[in-house]
Amino acid sequence: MSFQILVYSITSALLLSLVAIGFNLIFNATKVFHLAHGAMYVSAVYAMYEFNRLFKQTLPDWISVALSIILSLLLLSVLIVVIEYLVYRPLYRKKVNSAISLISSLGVYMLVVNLLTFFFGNESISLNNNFKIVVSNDYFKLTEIELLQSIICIVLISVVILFSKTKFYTHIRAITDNYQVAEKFGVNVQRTRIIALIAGTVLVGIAGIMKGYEIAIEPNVGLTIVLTASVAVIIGGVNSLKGTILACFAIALIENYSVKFLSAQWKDLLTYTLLIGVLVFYKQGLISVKQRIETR
Amino acid sequence: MNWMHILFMCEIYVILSLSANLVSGYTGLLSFANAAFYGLGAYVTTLVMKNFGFNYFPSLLIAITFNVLISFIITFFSSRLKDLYFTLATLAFQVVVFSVLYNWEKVTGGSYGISEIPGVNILGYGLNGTKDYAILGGFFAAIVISFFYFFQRTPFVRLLECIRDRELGAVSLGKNISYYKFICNSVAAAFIAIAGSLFAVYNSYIDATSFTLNESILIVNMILIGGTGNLIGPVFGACFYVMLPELTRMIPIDSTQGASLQMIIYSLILILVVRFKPNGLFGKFKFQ
Repeated sequence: MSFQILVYSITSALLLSLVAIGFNLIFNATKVFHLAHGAMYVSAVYAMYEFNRLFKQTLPDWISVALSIILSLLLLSVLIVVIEYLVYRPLYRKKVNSAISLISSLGVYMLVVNLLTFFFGNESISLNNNFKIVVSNDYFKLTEIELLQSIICIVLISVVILFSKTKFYTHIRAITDNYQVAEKFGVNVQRTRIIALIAGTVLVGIAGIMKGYEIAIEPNVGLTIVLTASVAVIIGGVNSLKGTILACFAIALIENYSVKFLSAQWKDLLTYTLLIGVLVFYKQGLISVKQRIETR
Repeated sequence: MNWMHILFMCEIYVILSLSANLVSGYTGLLSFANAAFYGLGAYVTTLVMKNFGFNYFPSLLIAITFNVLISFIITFFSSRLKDLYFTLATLAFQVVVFSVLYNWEKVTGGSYGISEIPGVNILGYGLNGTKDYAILGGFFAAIVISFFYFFQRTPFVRLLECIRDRELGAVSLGKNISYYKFICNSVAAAFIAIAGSLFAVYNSYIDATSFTLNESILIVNMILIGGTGNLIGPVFGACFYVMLPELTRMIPIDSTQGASLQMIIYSLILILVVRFKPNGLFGKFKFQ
Protein backbone atom coordinates (compact mmCIF):
# COMPACT_ATOMS: atom_id res chain seq x y z
CA MET A 1 0.00 0.00 0.00
CA SER A 2 2.59 2.52 1.01
CA PHE A 3 4.73 1.52 -1.96
CA GLN A 4 1.79 2.31 -4.21
CA ILE A 5 1.68 5.79 -2.67
CA LEU A 6 5.36 6.22 -3.46
CA VAL A 7 4.81 5.30 -7.11
CA TYR A 8 1.83 7.61 -7.35
CA SER A 9 3.80 10.42 -5.68
CA ILE A 10 6.59 10.07 -8.19
CA THR A 11 4.30 10.27 -11.21
CA SER A 12 2.39 13.24 -9.82
CA ALA A 13 5.65 14.93 -8.83
CA LEU A 14 6.94 14.57 -12.39
CA LEU A 15 3.78 16.14 -13.78
CA LEU A 16 3.90 18.90 -11.19
CA SER A 17 7.51 19.63 -12.05
CA LEU A 18 6.58 20.28 -15.70
CA VAL A 19 4.08 22.91 -14.54
CA ALA A 20 6.54 24.32 -12.02
CA ILE A 21 9.46 24.51 -14.46
CA GLY A 22 7.26 26.39 -16.92
CA PHE A 23 6.20 28.71 -14.14
CA ASN A 24 9.79 29.21 -13.07
CA LEU A 25 10.94 30.11 -16.61
CA ILE A 26 8.13 32.62 -17.02
CA PHE A 27 8.56 34.09 -13.56
CA ASN A 28 12.28 34.60 -14.10
CA ALA A 29 11.97 36.06 -17.57
CA THR A 30 9.00 38.35 -17.07
CA LYS A 31 8.77 38.90 -13.28
CA VAL A 32 5.04 38.27 -13.64
CA PHE A 33 3.52 35.92 -11.12
CA HIS A 34 1.83 34.10 -13.96
CA LEU A 35 -1.41 32.75 -12.47
CA ALA A 36 -2.85 32.48 -15.99
CA HIS A 37 -0.55 29.47 -16.25
CA GLY A 38 -3.36 27.49 -14.60
CA ALA A 39 -5.77 28.67 -17.27
CA MET A 40 -3.32 27.44 -19.90
CA TYR A 41 -3.26 24.04 -18.20
CA VAL A 42 -7.02 23.73 -18.45
CA SER A 43 -7.36 25.20 -21.94
CA ALA A 44 -4.86 22.66 -23.24
CA VAL A 45 -7.24 19.89 -22.18
CA TYR A 46 -10.23 21.62 -23.74
CA ALA A 47 -8.41 22.35 -27.01
CA MET A 48 -7.21 18.76 -27.18
CA TYR A 49 -10.73 17.47 -26.53
CA GLU A 50 -12.32 19.63 -29.22
CA PHE A 51 -9.65 19.02 -31.87
CA ASN A 52 -9.69 15.30 -31.21
CA ARG A 53 -13.47 15.18 -31.53
CA LEU A 54 -13.17 17.07 -34.82
CA PHE A 55 -10.53 14.83 -36.40
CA LYS A 56 -11.63 11.48 -35.01
CA GLN A 57 -14.30 10.95 -37.62
CA THR A 58 -12.11 11.33 -40.68
CA LEU A 59 -8.59 10.34 -39.61
CA PRO A 60 -7.14 7.20 -38.04
CA ASP A 61 -6.84 7.31 -34.28
CA TRP A 62 -3.14 7.98 -33.68
CA ILE A 63 -2.86 10.62 -36.44
CA SER A 64 -5.84 12.40 -34.96
CA VAL A 65 -4.27 12.40 -31.49
CA ALA A 66 -0.89 13.60 -32.73
CA LEU A 67 -2.43 16.32 -34.88
CA SER A 68 -4.63 17.50 -32.01
CA ILE A 69 -1.67 17.67 -29.63
CA ILE A 70 0.34 19.77 -32.10
CA LEU A 71 -2.59 22.03 -32.92
CA SER A 72 -3.54 22.61 -29.28
CA LEU A 73 0.03 23.45 -28.30
CA LEU A 74 0.16 25.85 -31.26
CA LEU A 75 -3.10 27.42 -30.16
CA LEU A 76 -1.76 27.86 -26.63
CA SER A 77 1.39 29.51 -27.96
CA VAL A 78 -0.67 31.96 -30.01
CA LEU A 79 -2.81 32.67 -26.94
CA ILE A 80 0.18 33.38 -24.71
CA VAL A 81 1.73 35.69 -27.32
CA VAL A 82 -1.55 37.61 -27.53
CA ILE A 83 -1.63 37.87 -23.73
CA GLU A 84 1.97 39.09 -23.71
CA TYR A 85 1.26 41.79 -26.30
CA LEU A 86 -2.03 42.98 -24.82
CA VAL A 87 -1.44 42.66 -21.09
CA TYR A 88 2.06 41.88 -19.87
CA ARG A 89 4.19 44.02 -22.19
CA PRO A 90 2.36 47.30 -21.50
CA LEU A 91 2.74 46.61 -17.77
CA TYR A 92 6.43 45.88 -18.28
CA ARG A 93 6.81 49.21 -20.10
CA LYS A 94 5.08 50.99 -17.24
CA LYS A 95 7.42 49.28 -14.72
CA VAL A 96 4.56 48.40 -12.37
CA ASN A 97 5.30 46.45 -9.21
CA SER A 98 4.85 42.72 -8.96
CA ALA A 99 1.61 42.85 -6.97
CA ILE A 100 -0.09 44.70 -9.81
CA SER A 101 1.14 42.28 -12.45
CA LEU A 102 -0.15 39.49 -10.18
CA ILE A 103 -3.57 41.12 -10.27
CA SER A 104 -3.66 41.48 -14.04
CA SER A 105 -2.50 37.89 -14.39
CA LEU A 106 -5.35 36.90 -12.10
CA GLY A 107 -7.66 38.88 -14.39
CA VAL A 108 -6.37 36.95 -17.40
CA TYR A 109 -6.85 33.68 -15.50
CA MET A 110 -10.45 34.49 -14.63
CA LEU A 111 -11.16 35.68 -18.18
CA VAL A 112 -9.87 32.50 -19.84
CA VAL A 113 -11.48 30.10 -17.36
CA ASN A 114 -14.84 31.81 -17.53
CA LEU A 115 -14.73 31.94 -21.33
CA LEU A 116 -14.21 28.17 -21.18
CA THR A 117 -17.17 27.64 -18.84
CA PHE A 118 -19.25 30.05 -20.91
CA PHE A 119 -18.76 28.10 -24.11
CA PHE A 120 -18.23 24.52 -22.94
CA GLY A 121 -20.22 24.40 -19.70
CA ASN A 122 -19.15 23.60 -16.18
CA GLU A 123 -18.90 19.80 -16.36
CA SER A 124 -15.57 18.08 -16.17
CA ILE A 125 -14.23 16.49 -19.34
CA SER A 126 -12.02 13.47 -19.73
CA LEU A 127 -9.98 12.68 -22.82
CA ASN A 128 -9.83 8.90 -22.52
CA ASN A 129 -9.35 6.79 -19.45
CA ASN A 130 -9.57 3.13 -20.41
CA PHE A 131 -5.89 2.36 -20.13
CA LYS A 132 -4.56 -1.08 -19.41
CA ILE A 133 -2.53 -1.87 -16.31
CA VAL A 134 1.00 -2.76 -17.36
CA VAL A 135 2.63 -3.66 -14.09
CA SER A 136 0.71 -5.32 -11.31
CA ASN A 137 2.23 -7.21 -8.39
CA ASP A 138 1.89 -7.39 -4.64
CA TYR A 139 3.43 -3.99 -4.05
CA PHE A 140 2.07 -1.64 -6.67
CA LYS A 141 0.11 -1.19 -9.87
CA LEU A 142 1.13 0.97 -12.79
CA THR A 143 -1.17 1.89 -15.66
CA GLU A 144 -0.08 2.59 -19.21
CA ILE A 145 -0.75 6.29 -18.95
CA GLU A 146 1.24 6.63 -15.73
CA LEU A 147 4.21 4.95 -17.36
CA LEU A 148 3.86 7.15 -20.45
CA GLN A 149 3.55 10.27 -18.28
CA SER A 150 6.70 9.44 -16.35
CA ILE A 151 8.73 8.74 -19.51
CA ILE A 152 7.61 11.92 -21.28
CA CYS A 153 8.15 14.00 -18.15
CA ILE A 154 11.65 12.62 -17.58
CA VAL A 155 12.58 13.32 -21.22
CA LEU A 156 11.19 16.86 -21.09
CA ILE A 157 12.83 17.61 -17.75
CA SER A 158 16.20 16.43 -19.08
CA VAL A 159 15.70 18.62 -22.16
CA VAL A 160 15.01 21.61 -19.92
CA ILE A 161 18.06 20.89 -17.77
CA LEU A 162 20.23 20.67 -20.91
CA PHE A 163 18.59 23.88 -22.11
CA SER A 164 19.57 25.57 -18.88
CA LYS A 165 23.23 25.21 -19.92
CA THR A 166 22.71 27.21 -23.13
CA LYS A 167 23.34 30.88 -23.72
CA PHE A 168 19.63 31.59 -23.95
CA TYR A 169 19.10 30.56 -20.36
CA THR A 170 21.92 32.90 -19.36
CA HIS A 171 19.90 35.67 -21.00
CA ILE A 172 16.92 34.78 -18.85
CA ARG A 173 19.07 34.90 -15.74
CA ALA A 174 20.51 38.23 -16.80
CA ILE A 175 17.00 39.61 -17.17
CA THR A 176 16.06 38.24 -13.76
CA ASP A 177 19.01 39.96 -12.18
CA ASN A 178 18.61 43.35 -13.81
CA TYR A 179 16.82 43.77 -17.11
CA GLN A 180 18.07 47.29 -17.75
CA VAL A 181 21.70 46.26 -17.58
CA ALA A 182 20.90 43.16 -19.63
CA GLU A 183 19.38 45.36 -22.32
CA LYS A 184 22.51 47.53 -22.41
CA PHE A 185 24.62 44.45 -22.96
CA GLY A 186 22.67 43.46 -26.03
CA VAL A 187 20.16 40.96 -24.66
CA ASN A 188 16.95 41.18 -26.63
CA VAL A 189 14.57 41.38 -23.69
CA GLN A 190 11.31 41.26 -25.65
CA ARG A 191 12.34 38.21 -27.64
CA THR A 192 13.61 36.39 -24.57
CA ARG A 193 10.36 37.08 -22.76
CA ILE A 194 8.27 35.69 -25.62
CA ILE A 195 10.41 32.56 -26.00
CA ALA A 196 10.31 31.89 -22.26
CA LEU A 197 6.53 32.39 -22.20
CA ILE A 198 6.05 30.00 -25.13
CA ALA A 199 8.39 27.39 -23.64
CA GLY A 200 6.65 27.52 -20.27
CA THR A 201 3.22 27.35 -21.85
CA VAL A 202 4.11 24.37 -24.04
CA LEU A 203 5.39 22.54 -20.95
CA VAL A 204 2.22 23.26 -19.00
CA GLY A 205 0.10 22.32 -22.01
CA ILE A 206 1.76 18.92 -22.26
CA ALA A 207 1.28 18.40 -18.52
CA GLY A 208 -2.39 19.33 -18.81
CA ILE A 209 -3.04 17.00 -21.72
CA MET A 210 -1.37 14.08 -19.95
CA LYS A 211 -3.36 14.75 -16.78
CA GLY A 212 -6.51 14.96 -18.90
CA TYR A 213 -5.84 11.44 -20.14
CA GLU A 214 -5.57 10.23 -16.54
CA ILE A 215 -8.49 11.92 -14.78
CA ALA A 216 -11.37 14.22 -15.68
CA ILE A 217 -10.54 17.92 -15.67
CA GLU A 218 -12.92 20.76 -14.86
CA PRO A 219 -12.23 24.42 -15.62
CA ASN A 220 -11.54 25.52 -12.04
CA VAL A 221 -8.74 23.12 -11.13
CA GLY A 222 -6.09 25.33 -12.74
CA LEU A 223 -5.64 27.75 -9.85
CA THR A 224 -4.87 25.04 -7.30
CA ILE A 225 -2.32 23.48 -9.62
CA VAL A 226 -0.56 26.71 -10.47
CA LEU A 227 -0.48 27.74 -6.82
CA THR A 228 0.98 24.37 -5.83
CA ALA A 229 3.57 24.81 -8.57
CA SER A 230 4.35 28.30 -7.30
CA VAL A 231 4.80 26.87 -3.80
CA ALA A 232 7.36 24.51 -5.31
CA VAL A 233 9.10 27.36 -7.13
CA ILE A 234 9.34 29.47 -3.99
CA ILE A 235 10.43 26.56 -1.79
CA GLY A 236 13.06 25.48 -4.28
CA GLY A 237 14.46 28.95 -4.65
CA VAL A 238 13.33 31.15 -7.52
CA ASN A 239 16.66 31.07 -9.32
CA SER A 240 17.16 27.35 -9.34
CA LEU A 241 15.52 24.85 -11.73
CA LYS A 242 16.88 21.86 -9.84
CA GLY A 243 15.55 23.24 -6.59
CA THR A 244 12.13 23.53 -8.18
CA ILE A 245 12.17 19.89 -9.25
CA LEU A 246 13.31 18.74 -5.80
CA ALA A 247 10.62 20.82 -4.16
CA CYS A 248 8.01 19.27 -6.46
CA PHE A 249 9.01 15.82 -5.24
CA ALA A 250 8.91 16.98 -1.62
CA ILE A 251 5.44 18.49 -2.02
CA ALA A 252 4.03 15.46 -3.82
CA LEU A 253 5.42 13.12 -1.17
CA ILE A 254 4.06 15.24 1.68
CA GLU A 255 0.64 15.61 0.03
CA ASN A 256 0.23 11.94 -0.78
CA TYR A 257 1.63 10.51 2.44
CA SER A 258 -0.46 12.89 4.54
CA VAL A 259 -3.51 11.06 3.20
CA LYS A 260 -2.48 8.18 5.44
CA PHE A 261 -2.81 10.29 8.58
CA LEU A 262 -5.31 12.98 7.64
CA SER A 263 -8.23 12.73 5.28
CA ALA A 264 -7.72 13.95 1.72
CA GLN A 265 -9.77 17.11 2.22
CA TRP A 266 -6.95 18.68 4.28
CA LYS A 267 -4.48 18.49 1.38
CA ASP A 268 -5.02 22.12 0.39
CA LEU A 269 -4.55 23.27 3.95
CA LEU A 270 -1.22 21.47 4.18
CA THR A 271 0.15 22.89 0.93
CA TYR A 272 -0.81 26.45 1.73
CA THR A 273 0.42 26.28 5.30
CA LEU A 274 3.70 25.11 3.82
CA LEU A 275 3.62 28.13 1.49
CA ILE A 276 3.04 30.52 4.40
CA GLY A 277 5.79 28.89 6.41
CA VAL A 278 8.27 29.10 3.57
CA LEU A 279 7.35 32.70 2.76
CA VAL A 280 7.74 33.82 6.34
CA PHE A 281 10.84 31.85 7.33
CA TYR A 282 12.68 30.92 4.12
CA LYS A 283 11.76 33.53 1.54
CA GLN A 284 14.97 32.84 -0.36
CA GLY A 285 14.01 29.23 -0.79
CA LEU A 286 15.83 26.20 0.49
CA ILE A 287 18.37 26.28 -2.33
CA SER A 288 19.39 29.81 -3.10
CA VAL A 289 21.96 31.76 -5.00
CA LYS A 290 24.02 34.31 -3.11
CA GLN A 291 22.65 37.80 -3.60
CA ARG A 292 23.38 41.30 -2.47
CA ILE A 293 21.32 42.13 0.61
CA GLU A 294 19.56 45.12 -0.96
CA THR A 295 18.27 43.12 -3.92
CA ARG A 296 16.61 40.47 -1.80
CA MET B 1 -36.18 43.34 -8.50
CA ASN B 2 -35.80 43.60 -4.76
CA TRP B 3 -34.37 47.04 -4.12
CA MET B 4 -34.06 46.61 -0.37
CA HIS B 5 -31.95 43.49 -0.87
CA ILE B 6 -29.67 45.36 -3.29
CA LEU B 7 -29.38 48.24 -0.83
CA PHE B 8 -28.42 45.83 1.96
CA MET B 9 -25.76 44.11 -0.18
CA CYS B 10 -24.41 47.55 -1.17
CA GLU B 11 -24.08 48.45 2.51
CA ILE B 12 -22.21 45.22 3.30
CA TYR B 13 -19.83 45.65 0.39
CA VAL B 14 -19.28 49.34 1.18
CA ILE B 15 -18.09 48.29 4.65
CA LEU B 16 -15.92 45.55 3.15
CA SER B 17 -14.32 47.68 0.45
CA LEU B 18 -13.70 50.62 2.78
CA SER B 19 -11.91 48.30 5.21
CA ALA B 20 -9.90 46.73 2.39
CA ASN B 21 -9.07 50.25 1.27
CA LEU B 22 -7.67 51.05 4.70
CA VAL B 23 -5.11 48.26 4.32
CA SER B 24 -4.47 48.51 0.57
CA GLY B 25 -5.01 52.16 -0.18
CA TYR B 26 -3.38 53.74 2.85
CA THR B 27 -0.54 51.38 3.60
CA GLY B 28 -0.03 49.96 0.10
CA LEU B 29 -0.31 46.32 1.14
CA LEU B 30 -2.53 44.45 -1.30
CA SER B 31 -4.34 41.83 0.78
CA PHE B 32 -6.36 38.89 -0.51
CA ALA B 33 -7.43 37.82 2.99
CA ASN B 34 -10.51 40.03 3.29
CA ALA B 35 -13.03 37.28 2.60
CA ALA B 36 -11.32 35.16 5.26
CA PHE B 37 -12.06 37.81 7.89
CA TYR B 38 -15.54 38.26 6.45
CA GLY B 39 -16.14 34.53 6.88
CA LEU B 40 -14.60 34.41 10.34
CA GLY B 41 -16.81 37.31 11.44
CA ALA B 42 -19.90 35.56 10.12
CA TYR B 43 -19.04 32.20 11.65
CA VAL B 44 -17.98 33.50 15.06
CA THR B 45 -21.15 35.60 15.38
CA THR B 46 -23.28 32.64 14.36
CA LEU B 47 -21.58 30.14 16.64
CA VAL B 48 -21.73 32.43 19.66
CA MET B 49 -25.41 33.21 19.00
CA LYS B 50 -26.38 29.59 18.50
CA ASN B 51 -24.25 27.83 21.10
CA PHE B 52 -24.31 30.33 23.96
CA GLY B 53 -27.66 31.93 23.22
CA PHE B 54 -26.17 35.43 23.23
CA ASN B 55 -27.94 38.39 21.69
CA TYR B 56 -26.67 39.90 18.43
CA PHE B 57 -24.64 42.80 19.80
CA PRO B 58 -22.57 40.87 22.40
CA SER B 59 -21.83 38.24 19.74
CA LEU B 60 -20.76 40.98 17.36
CA LEU B 61 -18.35 42.28 20.00
CA ILE B 62 -16.90 38.79 20.44
CA ALA B 63 -16.54 38.42 16.66
CA ILE B 64 -14.75 41.75 16.44
CA THR B 65 -12.34 40.77 19.22
CA PHE B 66 -11.68 37.42 17.57
CA ASN B 67 -11.02 39.03 14.18
CA VAL B 68 -8.64 41.57 15.69
CA LEU B 69 -6.72 38.75 17.35
CA ILE B 70 -6.53 36.79 14.09
CA SER B 71 -5.41 39.92 12.22
CA PHE B 72 -2.16 39.75 14.21
CA ILE B 73 -1.16 37.05 11.72
CA ILE B 74 -1.59 39.48 8.82
CA THR B 75 0.37 42.08 10.75
CA PHE B 76 3.10 39.52 11.25
CA PHE B 77 3.15 38.90 7.47
CA SER B 78 3.25 42.61 6.71
CA SER B 79 6.18 43.20 9.03
CA ARG B 80 8.25 40.54 7.29
CA LEU B 81 7.13 40.44 3.66
CA LYS B 82 6.94 42.95 0.85
CA ASP B 83 4.52 43.47 -2.03
CA LEU B 84 4.28 40.24 -4.06
CA TYR B 85 5.20 37.98 -1.17
CA PHE B 86 2.77 39.69 1.18
CA THR B 87 -0.02 39.29 -1.38
CA LEU B 88 0.83 35.62 -1.79
CA ALA B 89 0.92 35.03 1.96
CA THR B 90 -2.53 36.60 2.39
CA LEU B 91 -3.81 34.54 -0.54
CA ALA B 92 -2.55 31.39 1.14
CA PHE B 93 -4.08 32.53 4.44
CA GLN B 94 -7.41 32.98 2.67
CA VAL B 95 -7.30 29.44 1.28
CA VAL B 96 -6.29 28.04 4.69
CA VAL B 97 -9.18 29.76 6.46
CA PHE B 98 -11.62 28.64 3.77
CA SER B 99 -10.33 25.10 4.07
CA VAL B 100 -10.83 25.12 7.84
CA LEU B 101 -14.35 26.54 7.54
CA TYR B 102 -15.25 24.06 4.84
CA ASN B 103 -13.74 20.92 6.34
CA TRP B 104 -14.02 21.27 10.11
CA GLU B 105 -17.41 19.62 10.16
CA LYS B 106 -17.86 19.33 13.92
CA VAL B 107 -17.86 23.06 14.47
CA THR B 108 -18.77 24.76 11.19
CA GLY B 109 -21.06 22.14 9.71
CA GLY B 110 -18.73 21.66 6.76
CA SER B 111 -20.35 21.88 3.35
CA TYR B 112 -23.84 21.82 4.90
CA GLY B 113 -23.23 25.17 6.56
CA ILE B 114 -25.18 26.45 9.56
CA SER B 115 -28.87 27.15 9.23
CA GLU B 116 -31.55 28.70 11.46
CA ILE B 117 -29.41 31.54 12.71
CA PRO B 118 -31.52 33.58 15.15
CA GLY B 119 -32.49 37.08 14.07
CA VAL B 120 -31.50 40.38 15.64
CA ASN B 121 -33.41 41.54 18.65
CA ILE B 122 -33.00 45.19 19.69
CA LEU B 123 -34.52 45.97 23.11
CA GLY B 124 -37.32 43.52 22.61
CA TYR B 125 -38.04 44.47 19.01
CA GLY B 126 -37.17 41.56 16.70
CA LEU B 127 -36.09 42.63 13.24
CA ASN B 128 -37.87 40.87 10.42
CA GLY B 129 -38.01 41.58 6.73
CA THR B 130 -35.39 42.95 4.40
CA LYS B 131 -36.26 46.55 5.19
CA ASP B 132 -35.35 46.29 8.88
CA TYR B 133 -32.01 44.72 8.04
CA ALA B 134 -31.36 47.38 5.42
CA ILE B 135 -31.84 49.99 8.15
CA LEU B 136 -29.49 48.12 10.53
CA GLY B 137 -26.92 47.77 7.72
CA GLY B 138 -27.35 51.45 6.87
CA PHE B 139 -26.63 52.31 10.51
CA PHE B 140 -23.37 50.37 10.49
CA ALA B 141 -22.40 51.59 7.01
CA ALA B 142 -23.00 55.17 8.17
CA ILE B 143 -20.74 54.57 11.18
CA VAL B 144 -17.98 53.17 8.96
CA ILE B 145 -18.30 55.89 6.31
CA SER B 146 -18.29 58.68 8.88
CA PHE B 147 -15.31 57.07 10.63
CA PHE B 148 -13.36 57.20 7.39
CA TYR B 149 -14.66 60.70 6.61
CA PHE B 150 -13.20 62.07 9.83
CA PHE B 151 -10.23 59.74 9.69
CA GLN B 152 -9.14 61.30 6.40
CA ARG B 153 -8.68 64.64 8.11
CA THR B 154 -6.32 63.39 10.82
CA PRO B 155 -2.53 63.66 10.74
CA PHE B 156 -2.47 59.90 11.24
CA VAL B 157 -3.55 59.40 7.62
CA ARG B 158 -0.74 61.56 6.31
CA LEU B 159 1.68 59.35 8.16
CA LEU B 160 0.10 56.28 6.58
CA GLU B 161 0.40 57.91 3.15
CA CYS B 162 4.02 58.56 3.92
CA ILE B 163 4.54 54.87 4.72
CA ARG B 164 2.77 53.90 1.50
CA ASP B 165 4.72 56.25 -0.74
CA ARG B 166 8.16 55.95 0.80
CA GLU B 167 8.63 53.51 3.62
CA LEU B 168 12.26 54.35 4.11
CA GLY B 169 11.35 58.01 4.57
CA ALA B 170 8.91 57.13 7.32
CA VAL B 171 11.53 54.98 9.01
CA SER B 172 14.07 57.76 8.90
CA LEU B 173 11.54 60.07 10.60
CA GLY B 174 11.63 57.65 13.50
CA LYS B 175 8.20 56.11 12.99
CA ASN B 176 7.49 52.58 14.06
CA ILE B 177 6.01 51.19 10.85
CA SER B 178 4.91 47.84 12.24
CA TYR B 179 2.80 49.64 14.82
CA TYR B 180 0.90 51.65 12.20
CA LYS B 181 0.40 48.61 9.99
CA PHE B 182 -0.87 46.77 13.05
CA ILE B 183 -3.44 49.49 13.73
CA CYS B 184 -4.63 49.49 10.10
CA ASN B 185 -4.96 45.72 9.96
CA SER B 186 -6.83 45.53 13.27
CA VAL B 187 -9.28 48.31 12.43
CA ALA B 188 -9.96 46.77 9.00
CA ALA B 189 -10.49 43.32 10.52
CA ALA B 190 -12.89 44.77 13.10
CA PHE B 191 -15.01 46.49 10.44
CA ILE B 192 -15.02 43.39 8.27
CA ALA B 193 -16.34 41.40 11.25
CA ILE B 194 -19.35 43.76 11.32
CA ALA B 195 -20.03 43.03 7.63
CA GLY B 196 -19.74 39.30 8.20
CA SER B 197 -22.12 39.30 11.16
CA LEU B 198 -24.68 41.35 9.18
CA PHE B 199 -24.46 38.86 6.34
CA ALA B 200 -25.02 35.93 8.72
CA VAL B 201 -28.07 37.29 10.55
CA TYR B 202 -29.62 38.60 7.32
CA ASN B 203 -29.45 35.30 5.45
CA SER B 204 -30.04 33.15 8.59
CA TYR B 205 -27.92 30.55 6.78
CA ILE B 206 -24.19 30.54 6.04
CA ASP B 207 -21.84 28.11 4.41
CA ALA B 208 -18.16 28.37 3.56
CA THR B 209 -18.67 28.81 -0.19
CA SER B 210 -19.69 32.44 0.40
CA PHE B 211 -16.17 33.20 1.62
CA THR B 212 -13.94 31.82 -1.12
CA LEU B 213 -10.92 33.34 -2.79
CA ASN B 214 -13.26 34.67 -5.49
CA GLU B 215 -14.93 36.85 -2.89
CA SER B 216 -11.56 38.33 -1.96
CA ILE B 217 -10.79 38.93 -5.61
CA LEU B 218 -14.13 40.69 -5.93
CA ILE B 219 -13.32 42.99 -3.01
CA VAL B 220 -9.92 43.80 -4.50
CA ASN B 221 -11.69 44.48 -7.81
CA MET B 222 -13.98 46.94 -6.05
CA ILE B 223 -11.19 49.02 -4.60
CA LEU B 224 -9.15 48.89 -7.81
CA ILE B 225 -11.92 50.08 -10.10
CA GLY B 226 -12.99 52.92 -7.83
CA GLY B 227 -9.48 53.90 -6.91
CA THR B 228 -7.70 53.47 -3.63
CA GLY B 229 -6.69 55.95 -0.99
CA ASN B 230 -9.91 57.96 -0.81
CA LEU B 231 -13.51 57.64 0.29
CA ILE B 232 -15.56 57.88 -2.90
CA GLY B 233 -13.62 55.25 -4.87
CA PRO B 234 -14.38 52.15 -2.74
CA VAL B 235 -18.01 53.25 -2.22
CA PHE B 236 -18.46 53.62 -5.97
CA GLY B 237 -16.72 50.31 -6.67
CA ALA B 238 -18.87 48.43 -4.14
CA CYS B 239 -22.14 49.83 -5.50
CA PHE B 240 -21.04 49.21 -9.08
CA TYR B 241 -20.21 45.57 -8.47
CA VAL B 242 -23.44 44.92 -6.58
CA MET B 243 -25.50 46.50 -9.37
CA LEU B 244 -23.72 44.74 -12.23
CA PRO B 245 -25.30 41.26 -11.76
CA GLU B 246 -28.74 42.89 -11.82
CA LEU B 247 -27.90 44.23 -15.27
CA THR B 248 -26.48 40.99 -16.64
CA ARG B 249 -29.57 39.17 -15.36
CA MET B 250 -31.59 40.97 -18.03
CA ILE B 251 -29.67 39.19 -20.80
CA PRO B 252 -31.64 36.05 -21.72
CA ILE B 253 -29.17 33.19 -21.10
CA ASP B 254 -29.27 30.37 -18.57
CA SER B 255 -27.93 30.89 -15.08
CA THR B 256 -24.54 29.10 -15.28
CA GLN B 257 -23.71 31.00 -18.45
CA GLY B 258 -24.91 34.17 -16.75
CA ALA B 259 -22.50 33.56 -13.85
CA SER B 260 -19.57 33.08 -16.22
CA LEU B 261 -20.59 36.13 -18.24
CA GLN B 262 -20.53 38.13 -15.02
CA MET B 263 -17.03 36.88 -14.20
CA ILE B 264 -15.93 37.65 -17.78
CA ILE B 265 -17.10 41.23 -17.38
CA TYR B 266 -15.40 41.52 -13.95
CA SER B 267 -12.10 40.22 -15.26
CA LEU B 268 -12.20 42.37 -18.40
CA ILE B 269 -12.83 45.45 -16.28
CA LEU B 270 -9.99 44.43 -13.98
CA ILE B 271 -7.54 43.98 -16.86
CA LEU B 272 -8.58 47.23 -18.54
CA VAL B 273 -8.44 49.27 -15.33
CA VAL B 274 -4.99 47.96 -14.44
CA ARG B 275 -3.82 48.61 -18.01
CA PHE B 276 -5.23 52.06 -18.72
CA LYS B 277 -6.18 53.65 -15.42
CA PRO B 278 -3.97 52.12 -12.74
CA ASN B 279 -5.18 54.51 -10.06
CA GLY B 280 -8.85 53.74 -10.65
CA LEU B 281 -11.60 56.14 -11.58
CA PHE B 282 -11.27 58.42 -8.57
CA GLY B 283 -8.04 57.34 -6.97
CA LYS B 284 -5.06 59.44 -6.11
CA PHE B 285 -2.64 56.64 -5.56
CA LYS B 286 -1.54 53.84 -7.84
CA PHE B 287 0.44 50.78 -6.93
CA GLN B 288 3.75 51.28 -8.64
